[in-house]
Amino acid sequence: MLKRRDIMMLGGGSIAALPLTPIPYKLLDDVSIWTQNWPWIPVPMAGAASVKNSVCTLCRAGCPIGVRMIDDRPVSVMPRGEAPGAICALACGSHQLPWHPSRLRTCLLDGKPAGCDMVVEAVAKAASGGRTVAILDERPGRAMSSLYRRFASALGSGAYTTPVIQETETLEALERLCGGKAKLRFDWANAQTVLSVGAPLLDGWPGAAGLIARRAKGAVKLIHAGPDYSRQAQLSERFIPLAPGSECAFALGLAGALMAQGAPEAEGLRGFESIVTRFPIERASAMTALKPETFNELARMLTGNSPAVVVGGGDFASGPFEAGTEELLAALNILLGSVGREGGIVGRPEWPGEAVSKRWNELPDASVDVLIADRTAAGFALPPSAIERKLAKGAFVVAVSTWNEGYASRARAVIAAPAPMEDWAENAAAGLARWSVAPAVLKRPEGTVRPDEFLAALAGALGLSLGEGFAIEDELKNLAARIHSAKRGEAAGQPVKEMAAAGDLWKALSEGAEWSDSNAAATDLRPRLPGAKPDEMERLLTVANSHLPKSKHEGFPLALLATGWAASGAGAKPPLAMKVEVESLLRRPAGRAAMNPVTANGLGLKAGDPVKVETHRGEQRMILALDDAVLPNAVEAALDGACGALHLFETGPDGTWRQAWARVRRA
Amino acid sequence: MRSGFFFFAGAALMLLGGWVGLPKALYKQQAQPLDFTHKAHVVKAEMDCTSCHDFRQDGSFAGIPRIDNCAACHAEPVGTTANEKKLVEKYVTPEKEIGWLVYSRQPINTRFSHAIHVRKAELKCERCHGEHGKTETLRPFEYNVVSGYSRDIWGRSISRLRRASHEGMKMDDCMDCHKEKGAEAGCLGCHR
Ligand code: SF4
Repeated sequence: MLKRRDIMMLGGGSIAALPLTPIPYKLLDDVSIWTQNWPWIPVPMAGAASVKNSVCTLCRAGCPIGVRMIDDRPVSVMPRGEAPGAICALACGSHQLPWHPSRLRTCLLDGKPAGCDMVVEAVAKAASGGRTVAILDERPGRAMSSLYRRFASALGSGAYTTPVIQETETLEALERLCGGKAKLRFDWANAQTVLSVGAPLLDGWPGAAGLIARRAKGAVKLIHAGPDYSRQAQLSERFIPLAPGSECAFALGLAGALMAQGAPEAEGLRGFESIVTRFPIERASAMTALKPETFNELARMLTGNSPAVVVGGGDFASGPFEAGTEELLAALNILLGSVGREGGIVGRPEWPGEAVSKRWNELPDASVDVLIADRTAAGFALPPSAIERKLAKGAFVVAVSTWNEGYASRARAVIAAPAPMEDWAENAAAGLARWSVAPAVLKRPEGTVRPDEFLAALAGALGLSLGEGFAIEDELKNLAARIHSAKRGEAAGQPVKEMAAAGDLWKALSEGAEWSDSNAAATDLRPRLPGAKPDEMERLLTVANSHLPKSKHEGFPLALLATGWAASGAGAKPPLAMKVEVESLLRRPAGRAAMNPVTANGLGLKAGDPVKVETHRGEQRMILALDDAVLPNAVEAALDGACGALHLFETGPDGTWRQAWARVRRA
Repeated sequence: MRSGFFFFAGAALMLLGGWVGLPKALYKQQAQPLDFTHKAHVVKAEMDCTSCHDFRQDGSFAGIPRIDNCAACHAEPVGTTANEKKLVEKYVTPEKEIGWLVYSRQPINTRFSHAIHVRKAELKCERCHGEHGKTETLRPFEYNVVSGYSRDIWGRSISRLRRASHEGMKMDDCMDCHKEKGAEAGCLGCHR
């Protein structure tokens, strides 16, 4: 007869033996898998797999990618063989962007959904009667840019403008010092030492991808000078921390140190010498917070491992430098004897798609009645103040954008443009003779409108004639034909001059090949140093003296710097990129303000505190992060896809917003 | 004494249930839609694995062959078996794909590149698939009623004590091999 005690012992024995069976372990494993496979979790449909060669157009680095497709759906993005290493987290999730929550599927007028015809009618009404229309193209150099130029010239009163193109700023300053006779490029393949002043050469800088591989092999020495310990600074052999806004003083101090070592014969040497004499190293040292020996040591590093180049241009978040700073950085290249030398800065032929265009900041203030702003391809982070400065009272702004973000969310009207992968896109780094085309791999939603379709409809409403072939495909093929007839460069490993027909080049491009032309043009470059004329000298000295760190604004004691990278101007980031950013801290996530612990201590703040960052222009709530690498008395605001914190910055008459004065309080 | 007997009886029942009853309760069998002899293809037709499980031009692995691949040789019945008749009538002629149940199907959060493992690392197919290429018939497909995964992922033995390299296709098994070969993959190397 079974007793209660027997049952208890039977149960006790079973429980004691349970860990000796696979039951708990196997069931734990299976149940955890089961929770990942609930039937309501969507599962991608099976289908035929293929890979389409393309190019990432999310930033201007233009990395080659392969888009893995299942039937006609892109399911992942991977680097392609010729990519110098890999692709970034942003590109890994780029196939998710068409489904991003802030993606626009219909045009907007006064914040409400509207048909394209309603937007066209409203823009045409605002533009009629000889009012000034300006186009702001954030990614110049594309075939779409030529269509914008055609539209602007048909309009008569229209101006086609671009933001400052950072990667060519130092080169353009040098081209001016060479009398405008030649087009120039950096010879990244042979440079021995590269001093980047604020320029993120290893982080999405168009045309400098080869430096990543050369750096890995130890074939090039990288030095970075700038106010923040950026990715470029981390990857350089030497980081020279500069007081915010003191790049011009740094350039003059370094010029003094180079001249003390014996400057080469160059036109304008005497005038330049007198600038340097009036701005001694001690002064540069006080302004940059560097020791005077650092300038001499740096000069020795540059001359001891030549050819050496100095690159400016600014970065994607804090924008460009003033023209004077660029001129002085260009002058450093002349002092280093790097202009016209292999491994330095060499002449280059013009590329068939190249055109001179006006910069947005060159327009007179308050002069634009109607602005058509193309934000379809992320180009440059631009603060709202840079746009507003040029707009007349009551100006009508229409943004051509895929996202309801950034200043598209402030515009009167938005044309809902196709998302990446839904339409032809291009990667053209202006002036660098590189061009690649990304074909559409996904059908675009019905309510979206391509920029060329919008321009054609607007031209119709305004009674303008745009001529034959005003469509992006035609323009892309035209550009390919122009490159083919110029017989320049190579694509898919084949010289263009060996391609029988323009169609062969087009075929290679539309299958993901990049066209590039790395030939140097034989040019007699005789650069002159700036400062020969008295007014030039005074202008440069004014720029160098205008950034005394002590000139703090009353009540706003901290230097506010915007930090971000090549894709900071992108309208939206894929969830995968956000997750990687937030969880790995590979990049400082958007919405974080970073401070040196000493500065934060002084303000009674600690890591993780919600803070309010205030400037004269407004305020932004952020979460505080502490970082020893941030300079004392500075606060760094990480930008998000929509450039959130940029509204805190005032844009100067020269179109720069390098820093603002701010205060930070607990929110 | 009596208490000890019941205690050990309970333990023995639990051990029996765990090691013998659990696999029986956990795995259900499902017949393949068609029988298939790898042996006939390899020995008689002198084909090798890549004749059907080939790589596409772009280097990606085509996996289970599609019906047009079978149709290249089986447009008409080759032989008189009922199986051959079924292949031609039910699948080849109406150009309908065969819904093979894949023993080594990995979960959807995983990606596996045959190109890298076979071409670059030069692993033999048998390293992960055992002697599957020499079988005369297809064994029934067994799936886990809780997780839905094929039994081959856990491995035939419920203890996961492996007697051969192809037994088990869980992450640990991949990692053991990667460690052995010194091949770094990182999370995103295999997971999406
Ligand atoms: S976002 Fe820029 S850096 Fe990243 S893969 Fe695309 S082009 Fe390259």
